Order: sequence, then C-alpha cells, then structure tokens
Amino acid sequence: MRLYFTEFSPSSGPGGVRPLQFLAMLGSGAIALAMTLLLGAAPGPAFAWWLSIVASEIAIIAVNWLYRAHTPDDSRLRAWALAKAALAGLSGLAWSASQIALPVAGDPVSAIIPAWMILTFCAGAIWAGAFYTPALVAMQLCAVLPAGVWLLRHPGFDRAVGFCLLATLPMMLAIGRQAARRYRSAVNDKIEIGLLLAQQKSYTSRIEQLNAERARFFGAAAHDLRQPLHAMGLYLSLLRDNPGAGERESLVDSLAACAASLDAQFNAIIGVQETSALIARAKVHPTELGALFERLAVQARPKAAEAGLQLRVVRTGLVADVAPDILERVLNNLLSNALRYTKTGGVLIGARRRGPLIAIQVIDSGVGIPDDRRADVFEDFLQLGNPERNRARGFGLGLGIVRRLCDGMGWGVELRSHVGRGSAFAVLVPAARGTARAATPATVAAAPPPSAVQGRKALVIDDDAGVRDAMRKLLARWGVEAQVCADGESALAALAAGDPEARWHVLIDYRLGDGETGLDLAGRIRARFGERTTCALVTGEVDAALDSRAAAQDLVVLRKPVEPIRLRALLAR
Amino acid sequence: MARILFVDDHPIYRDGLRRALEARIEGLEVVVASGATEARATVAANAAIALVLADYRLVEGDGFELISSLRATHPSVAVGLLCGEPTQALAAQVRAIGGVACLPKELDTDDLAEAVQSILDGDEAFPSPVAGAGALMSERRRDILTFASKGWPDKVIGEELGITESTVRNHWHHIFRRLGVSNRTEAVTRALRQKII
Repeated sequence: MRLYFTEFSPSSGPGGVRPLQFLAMLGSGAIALAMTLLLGAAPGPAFAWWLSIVASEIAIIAVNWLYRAHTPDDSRLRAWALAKAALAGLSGLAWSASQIALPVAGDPVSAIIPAWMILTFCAGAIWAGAFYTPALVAMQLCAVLPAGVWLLRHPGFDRAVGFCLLATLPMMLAIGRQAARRYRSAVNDKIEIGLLLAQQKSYTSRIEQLNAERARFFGAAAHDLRQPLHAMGLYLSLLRDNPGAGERESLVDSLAACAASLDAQFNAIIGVQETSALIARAKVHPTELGALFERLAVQARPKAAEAGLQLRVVRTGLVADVAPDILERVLNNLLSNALRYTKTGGVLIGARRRGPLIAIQVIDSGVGIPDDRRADVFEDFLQLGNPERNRARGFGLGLGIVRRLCDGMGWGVELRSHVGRGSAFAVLVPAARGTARAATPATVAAAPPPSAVQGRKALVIDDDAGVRDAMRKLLARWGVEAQVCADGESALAALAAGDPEARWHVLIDYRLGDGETGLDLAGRIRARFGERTTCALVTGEVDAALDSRAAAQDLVVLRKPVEPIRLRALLAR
Repeated sequence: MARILFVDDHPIYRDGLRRALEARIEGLEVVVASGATEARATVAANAAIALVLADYRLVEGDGFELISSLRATHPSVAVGLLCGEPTQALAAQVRAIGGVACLPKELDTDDLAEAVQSILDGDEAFPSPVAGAGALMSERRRDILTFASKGWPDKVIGEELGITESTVRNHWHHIFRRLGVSNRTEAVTRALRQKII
C-alpha cells in the first residue's frame, strides 16, 4: 500500500504533479476544445467536464502531498490508501462524465470519442492501479459503468457503443488483476533480494569482525609468548658459557620460570579458545544464585585474605535461568579481576531483580577504570596499569573470556566505574520462571573395569613357605584366585579337586623339595590336565641349558626374585 | 635394576623421556627404539626388558599392533601404550590383550615416573572412564582438591597433610596443568565435574 503512494515519487515533477497527471489534464482539455470547435459540442458542459477532470487530479495530488507531509504509520496506511482509491474512483467518474458532457446529438462520431477516451483511461488505470487492487477496480468501474449505462438509454448507435464499452469491462478488470499480481510478485522478489542482501552484509561484517578479532588475538598472543622464548634463548646462551655452580643454578631457575610462564600462557590461551566449546554444550536450567555465590566466595576468600581485602556476599534467594558452569566461570573471572585491581577495602558480590532479568553485581573499591577505557577492558590481552606486562599479574584474558561467554549466552554486561573509587560490573541474566532444580547428585563413580588378571586362577608350587606367602599376598592384591602348594602331589590333588572347567596358571619352582624338578612336574601336570593349564617355570638359576630345555617344552621361565610386572604380564595371558 | 623399552618415532621426545625417567626412577634403564622392527629385535636380544611402552603412531605399523605381537612372542614382558590422545576404546583394546598401561603423553614427567614405577610394582595404569584426566591424579593431589573444595587455604591443607605450604603450591601447579585450568576455583570445579573428587 505504501508503494501506491511512493512508487511515482522519484519521477514527480514540480509541486508533486506527476507527468502522467499533467498529460491527462492537458489531453482532456485538448479533446474538449477539439470537440467544441470541430464537432460543435456545447462549450459550457465541455468546459465544466474539463474542470471536473482537473479537480479530480488536483485532489489526488493533494492527497499525495498530505501523505508525504504526514508519513502515517502502518496502522493508518489502509485508511489513506482507501481514501486515495476513492479519489481515483472519482477521477474515473469524471472521465465517465465525458460521455454525458461532450457528445453532440445525432453525431455518432461524437459518442465514439468519449468511449475511446474512457478505454484509454482504463488502460492507464491498469498501470497506475497495479500497486493497489481496490484503486484499480474503483477506477475501471467508475469510468466504464456510468458511461456505458448512459449510452444504453438511447437506442441505435449509442446503445451499441454502450454495450461494447460495458463488454470490455470484464476483460479490463482481468488484465488489471493479472498486472497487479505480476507486479506484486516482482515487488516481493525485490524485497526478498533486499533482505537477503542485508543479511549477507551482516554476515560478512560479522565474519570480518571475527577475523579481525582473531588476528588481534593471535597477534597479541604471539607477542606475549615470544617474551619468555627470547628470555630462554638468552639464558641458554649464558649457560653455554659454563658459568659457576651458583650462577648456573639461578640460570636454570630462570629457565624453569620461563617454561612455567609459557605453559601458563598456553593454558590461558586455550582457555579462551575453549569458550566456544563451553557455550556449545551449555545447559540452561534454573539455578539458585545464593549457593553459587557461596561456592565462589569459598574459593576466592583465601586470595582476598592474602591481599588483606574483605569479600562480602549479599545473601539472595533469586533463581536464574542460566548454565551454572558458565555463569560461575564469568563471575569467577570478574572476582579475580576485582581482587587483582583492589588495594584496600573489599569486593562485594550480590544480585538484584531487574524486571525479567537479574543483575548480578561484582563491586570493588579498586583503582577504577577511566571513562575512555571502558570498552577496551573487555579486549583480550589488555591490562590497565600493567604496561610492563608483568605476567605474575595475569595475562589480561579474564574479561575477554567474560565478554565471549556473555556474548555467547546472550547475557548483558554493564560496567560503571569511578577512577580511584572502584568499579561495578553487572551481568544481566534471565530470571527463572520455575523453581531451582536441585543440583543433580553426583553420580557414583563407576567402578573401574576389572583388571585383566582379576578372577584368574593361579597355582603356586614352591617348597619355601616364605615365597608361598609372598606370592599369595601379591596375587590376592591383584584379585587373582591363588592356591599355594609345597610339592607336586598336593598340586596335582588341588587341580583334580578344583572346577574341571577352570583354567589355571601354574607357577612351578624349578627346585622342589623331594628331588623332582619343576620341569618334570610341569610334564606331569600337562599330561593330566593338558589344555586347562598354562605352566611357567620359576627359577633363581641362570642356566642356558635349563632355558633351552624349558623352551623345548614351551615353558616360560621367570627369574627369581620374580618381578611383579612380569608375573602380572604372564597371568594376563 | 629394571629395564624398559620405549618405542617412539620422535627422537627429541624419546630422548627427553629416557632422561626424565632414568633421573626419577632409581635403577631404571630405558632403552629406546624408533619403530616396530627395531623394537621386536631389541626385545628378542634383551631379556632384561620387563616393559615395552609404545606410541600409537609409528612410522611403520602402529603401536597397538606391535604390543599385541609382543604379547604373543614374549608372555612375560609387560606392554602398554604411551600416546597422544588415548581414547577409552583404545584403552579397552590394550586391556583386552593383557596390556598394563595406556597413558597420555601430556602427563608431566613426575606423574609419568609415578605411573611407570607403579607398573613395575605390578599395577596397571589406565585412565578410568569416569575420571578422565583425573585417573592418574595422585591420592595426595586428590586430597588437596578435596580440602580446597571445602574452602581451606593452602596453609591449612599443608598442616592437615603434614607438608609445607610451598609443597602444596607445587602440587597445585601440577593439578592446574593436569586439568588444563589456571586457578584453584576452576580446578575444583573441573575436578568436581569430572568426579575426580
């Protein structure tokens, strides 16, 4: 509808008269004159008719002018459009009146000319009214109907012309509708393209922004990381010069400090990069702020006490709809920041309801932030009052992380500050509609999966009671079901008495009391229990011949004292 | 006197690990190999090797393939992986073939030495599925985290554990590194979330 008023504006002539309107007034005047002079039409009605055309066009110019003067909002637009459509209908009536005012009785040609003008007007209406269908319909109906009906009154030629004029009306209306539809879809396409372009532009600028931010971030990170690296190079070259013992020790300490600084900086940088992952997995649910504050205070209090500062928590029963881990990280960063920049006094954390939001405030009595640096403090690697970039005072990433997390979660951050009196940061989070969900109870840590040797069965055959006892204890610690025997006969009995399906690891001492060797016993055990047993020989002797005999029997040899690691590896088979 | 074989295709890391472990574990000798073939030959020629730790990514084949084949040929040699980012699935595979360790390379040398020592004493070293990074968090550091979660300052924690405040701080440094955090609050939060404490 707005287009109905504005579409012609660019081509509007002086005083808001459109060329088309000007031509219409001029043309109708010329025709009235021609019909009066050439066909002998009555001058009075012809002039009156021409005036009515001019008046209707002036009315339309006036409504356009008023529209521009008022620029009504969308709710009033419909009334304006209907008013203009009504005026357009009046102009249609004026053209229709030509059929009454101009013809000369008995001259058929003088009836044709107005009809021809009316058709021309209708064709023009298709173009002018395409922006607004009611105007189109009003113009065509008002122009054709009265003239057509008027002509029908006279029999003969007039009636034929009137009938034909009326017959064109449905066609004119249909063409008009078609044009309006086509025009509308063209306009919609244009609007859509416009929206898409705007969207693309905003994406592009966002990407450019992110790129610039990333470049800034890595530039600053590289600068900060290079310092300890340079220092390391210097210390190393000093070390190469073979300094005295004391000097060397201090150089090594310095190197260690550089390495630690690099490590800490990497962690801090990775912490920043992790924020996006943190936001992606954020789970928002009603969270009691009071408990969260307590948790934060418990952590921050030792640091505050160390610095001789007071940390106060304002008790609150407010519940917010937030991802508690992210909020905790934001507030933790704000608290550390507040403590870092406060020399005397203290830091306070509290929350206050603000409409549908909750403002969580961290207020300090610290050095404050000058007005012109307000926006800068959320930049990465920026530290006010630390021009020498003393790394013991942090890396300047805390507030950058706060900004990233809050941006990601759609939380507002406010900052008020007076230099020398302190700063107040506020994080605006949505208040919860429901009640707080009880913190999910920590799930009981699942027992670690059983070790590979757990539940295995082992039979230890050794004639030394001390060895038997030590082995039993070690195997019990691993969860191995162990049996110990002093000699071959009891071992065979134990195997026979046990579960016939069970698999056994049999560890046989090479020197058994009654003269039988472990090799012999292994042979006997294998002969009777074959597949169910895996035998290994335990010996204190280093004897290549023994090793090769054991290998020939496909027996693993363990040396005494048995290394637990090897025993375990063996039992894990 | 224990001897272990470390298989890794990165010479600097290989050498660094050898020095670090030999300095920290009394009587330990670390031999190194750069690939699977060299490793197999070394184990065959060197009966004193009790443990083979391999990186997963090797120039020829992978570490898991290597330790699986060693299990079959040398049943009394313990095997394990020491690799960049061990997953639970990989750890389960190692466990299934009777391996004793699946350790992340990001362990600091003290923790790694602790883990190797415990393996030599007959224990296993696997990251547990629930605790993640905390699986190899020592008892002491867990205690420190637990006390810190109650809001105790380092001084009090030190008194409770019978160690000095500076030792507690030293432990914090390791804890931060292990958990990838930069301060106590984050450490405690992460430890709680990962069910380390």
